[in-house]
Amino acid sequence: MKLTYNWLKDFVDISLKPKELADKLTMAGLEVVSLEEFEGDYVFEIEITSNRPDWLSVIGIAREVSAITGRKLKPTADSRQPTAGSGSLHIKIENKKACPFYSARLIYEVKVGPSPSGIADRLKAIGLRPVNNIVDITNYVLWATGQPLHAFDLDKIVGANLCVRPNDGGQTRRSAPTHRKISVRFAKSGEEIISIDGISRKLSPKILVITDENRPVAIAGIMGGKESQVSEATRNILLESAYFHPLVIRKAARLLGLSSDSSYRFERSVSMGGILDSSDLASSLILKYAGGNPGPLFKAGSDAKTPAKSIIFNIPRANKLLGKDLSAVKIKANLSALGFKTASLKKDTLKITPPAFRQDISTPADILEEVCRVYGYENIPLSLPSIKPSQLPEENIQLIQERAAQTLSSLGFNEVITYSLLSQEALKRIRSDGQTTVFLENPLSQEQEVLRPSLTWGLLNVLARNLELGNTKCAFFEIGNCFSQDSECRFLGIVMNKRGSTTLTTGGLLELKGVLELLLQKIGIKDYKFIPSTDPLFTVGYSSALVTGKEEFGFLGQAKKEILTELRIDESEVIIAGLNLDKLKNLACFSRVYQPLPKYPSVSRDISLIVDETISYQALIDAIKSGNGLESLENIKFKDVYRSEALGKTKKSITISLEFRSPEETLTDSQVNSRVESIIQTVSRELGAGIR
Amino acid sequence: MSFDWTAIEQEAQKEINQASSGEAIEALRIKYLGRQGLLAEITGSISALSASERPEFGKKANYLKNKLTRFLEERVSQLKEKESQDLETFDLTLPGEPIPQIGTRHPITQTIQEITAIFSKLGFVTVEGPEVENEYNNFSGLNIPLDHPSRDAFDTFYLKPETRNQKPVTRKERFLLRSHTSPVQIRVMKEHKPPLAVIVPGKVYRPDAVDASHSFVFHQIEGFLVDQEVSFADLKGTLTAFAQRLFGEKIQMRFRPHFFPFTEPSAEVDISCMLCKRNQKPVTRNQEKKCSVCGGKGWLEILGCGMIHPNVFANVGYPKDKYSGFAFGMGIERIAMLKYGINDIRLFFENDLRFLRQF
Repeated sequence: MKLTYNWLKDFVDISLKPKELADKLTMAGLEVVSLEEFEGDYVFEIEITSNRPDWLSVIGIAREVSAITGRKLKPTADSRQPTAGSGSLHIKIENKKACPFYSARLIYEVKVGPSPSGIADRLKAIGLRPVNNIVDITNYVLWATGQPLHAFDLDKIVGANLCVRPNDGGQTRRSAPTHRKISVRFAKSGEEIISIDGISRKLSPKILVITDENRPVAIAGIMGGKESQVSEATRNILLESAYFHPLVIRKAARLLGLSSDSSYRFERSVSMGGILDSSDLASSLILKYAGGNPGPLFKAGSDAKTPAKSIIFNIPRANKLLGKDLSAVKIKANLSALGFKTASLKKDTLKITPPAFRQDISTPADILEEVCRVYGYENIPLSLPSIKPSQLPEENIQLIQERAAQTLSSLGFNEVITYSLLSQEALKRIRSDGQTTVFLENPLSQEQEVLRPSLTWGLLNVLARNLELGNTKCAFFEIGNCFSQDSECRFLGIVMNKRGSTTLTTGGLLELKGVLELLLQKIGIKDYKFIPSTDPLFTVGYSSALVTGKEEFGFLGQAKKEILTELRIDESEVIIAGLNLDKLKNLACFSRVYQPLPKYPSVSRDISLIVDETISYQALIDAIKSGNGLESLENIKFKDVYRSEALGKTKKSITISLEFRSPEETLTDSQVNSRVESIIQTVSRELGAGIR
Repeated sequence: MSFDWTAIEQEAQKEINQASSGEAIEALRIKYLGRQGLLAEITGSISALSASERPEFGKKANYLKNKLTRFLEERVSQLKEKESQDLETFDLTLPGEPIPQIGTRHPITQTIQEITAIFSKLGFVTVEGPEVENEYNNFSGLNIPLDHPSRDAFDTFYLKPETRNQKPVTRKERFLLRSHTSPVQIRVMKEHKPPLAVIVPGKVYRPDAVDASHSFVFHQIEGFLVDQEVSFADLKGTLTAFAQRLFGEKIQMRFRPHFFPFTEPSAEVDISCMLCKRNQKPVTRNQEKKCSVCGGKGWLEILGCGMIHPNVFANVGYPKDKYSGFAFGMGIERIAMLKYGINDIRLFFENDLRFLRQF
């Protein structure tokens, strides 16, 4: 909402300088977003909140200025207009809910021309382009009073009763057609109108229109039609002033994708009390600046105001809510400055009636806000509430993700945040079979129309972008929600290239496996396994799923060459991992029990076992654990895998280190040797392993 | 026979301390402690003493021997130290060894942690909610009616109904991506009775085209406190304490009346601009040009807040007039941009390592 300093002064005396006034308005809830000098006047641009349609006019803001500065509003001159002449116009309102009241005033023999500078300059100041005196006056009155008006060229309204008054001194006489009417109805399918902006618009039965005998001449409350607009040639006009239902106008404006100063106000509701007053004001200005003769005023429906409901207001409760004791006298004074009527019921209770233009007021909370606003938010003291301990538990998942993030960042991984919406193209690259996805109904673009099913695409893009920027050492993680048709789950995703190796190891799949093992240990998850998996995202044979019991809760793999090429990632190894943190919620354990520190030294023995190529390390360990010699075996450590021509193509040698320790004694060589012997017997029996 | 024990000791000490090489020390050791040295000579004379004098003499001789041994040792180590110093000096101005960088948390996460830490010290508990919400929690429950201009501020992404397994109850109850964190108010209050002091960080979505100051996904923190007799003064006090901890004791604040459908009275909170400090001193001619942070207004809007609307309490089933409470919400990107002087919101989502490592 824009208005000028001098325009406001038409309605209220102001002694404050423009900047001071702007500050006062801002602190009263009318945020002045800009204040600029314009040809000797000052233009205020004010952000009006959607609950205050009454502030969408100069007079409305003047009322507020009067309340906050204590200056009385200037009395407005009585602009009630004589109506005269004959002629008939039948106004038919087909839907009284959509349009409870419609008025049409006829003015004859106007002289259309440029506006007087007083009006044109103000319109220019608020950014409107002057058109001609008639159109400008309707805009001017809209801005001054908040009531949208529309002027039609009466002679373009087919079937309307163009009344030619008798005794008008030999002026053009026209024979009046019979049965003229203006209808307010919903458009019929297939109807069209060219609006004033020159665009042909298809209408539909949810759009309210004004029609003459034959066709729509205006989109009700939004924009007039081009054909019936007031032009240089116009001599007689029909001035419309009406009430259209906010929801009807809002829906139509949305359907048409068309918003105007008029629809903006109807959507927020105009005041019944101002409909005829504004018509009178416009009429008087037209007669003054465009000449002409006043014609009759036609009305349909009722502009009776809904009686204001009074509200019972409890002062002690209000003061408790404010945290400041205001007296009944103070409260009454603040409210009456805003035009509210107040009466004391009992000692602590007021009966309050809001003014008719305050349709936003219906509850004690609304009154409280007004009291507080006029008293000044800045005058409410500061206090700190006593906060009682909450019965709400801290959520486990917050602990899990904090611990995981700490572990990862201390290992050198950097946290990233990526967009959670993807394109369908991206989705095709990463979706594994059977995964379902959620689509947006109203995406901004095809780039963002799917809710991400995993963090992988975002992470790979971060990697690609960083390589492009010359950041070669890449190790990233993200914690965020991912979506399927049934659920929304919190995931942890990790991506790294080989150069991103963060520890002293060589980098790659086994490094990230080690990171995951450490991370799971930190959140207290023990009984899980990496099992081979097939995911089209990964190179065949280079991926595994993390499972506990039957539940799969994560994955680890090396990204397939194709997807890397597509993202222009020129890297030999890109490793990706993901954990579903929601699934870990119930498995995570943060309690720890102290284990006494060992008193006796450990003894270790390295053994190299020659086994078939097909036997996995896990199979070897499982075999050892199934046999004898396990007494005091504290740990089995992997050392290396060795292959050579001498061993042959089908064999490999795995070296492991067996660590023994007893809590009761220092183990002797012979004790350890016999156990190692048992273990070797087990693997040779179970797996046919030989000793190298 | 008597010796001047003290004089011998002093003389020896002087000589030893003047020795400046290993050879000189060795010569002195031979002179005093050698097989034919002074001490041997002294001990040899013991036979001339009476049996009653001998123990006392022995003690003194032994004492002297120990002393001299120590003098010699000390001088040796002194000389060694001096020798090594003469050879090389340690240059501590050399750079520290390059240590592999540890990873960083995203600046948005760090800002969320900083804010939640402040509130958690005040007694607030962190709760999260889903990003896919229903229309009721996001709108109607919060007193934002369907088809009302107050909804214009909340353009929203809706989900294609056929791509969700859970079906909405009515046509109007469509699923959407929450456009603010406020629906968590409804979720928490429906499940729990006051007293409640809750802080809700999370992602929110609005169909805004991406540019330097807009993003279709961003982060918010919501907070609310509900109890019997919570006041607007409590709201002001709590948020003032918060802003002073986050931005410093010296900032100025103002609470401006505003409109939110789910609070009444409602306010927007501004802090004084930390760059131009226009509100803290007279504006000089030089400052007349617009400040790059506040645009010349001198104030920066940081959050919206208010007393929870009685209709919201009614919607979650709280008895009328029994409870009162306040709620507030702020955009994390905005706070982080102000705190760190970042001028483009897209930097948060680009994740350039050189950007991330600055925090």
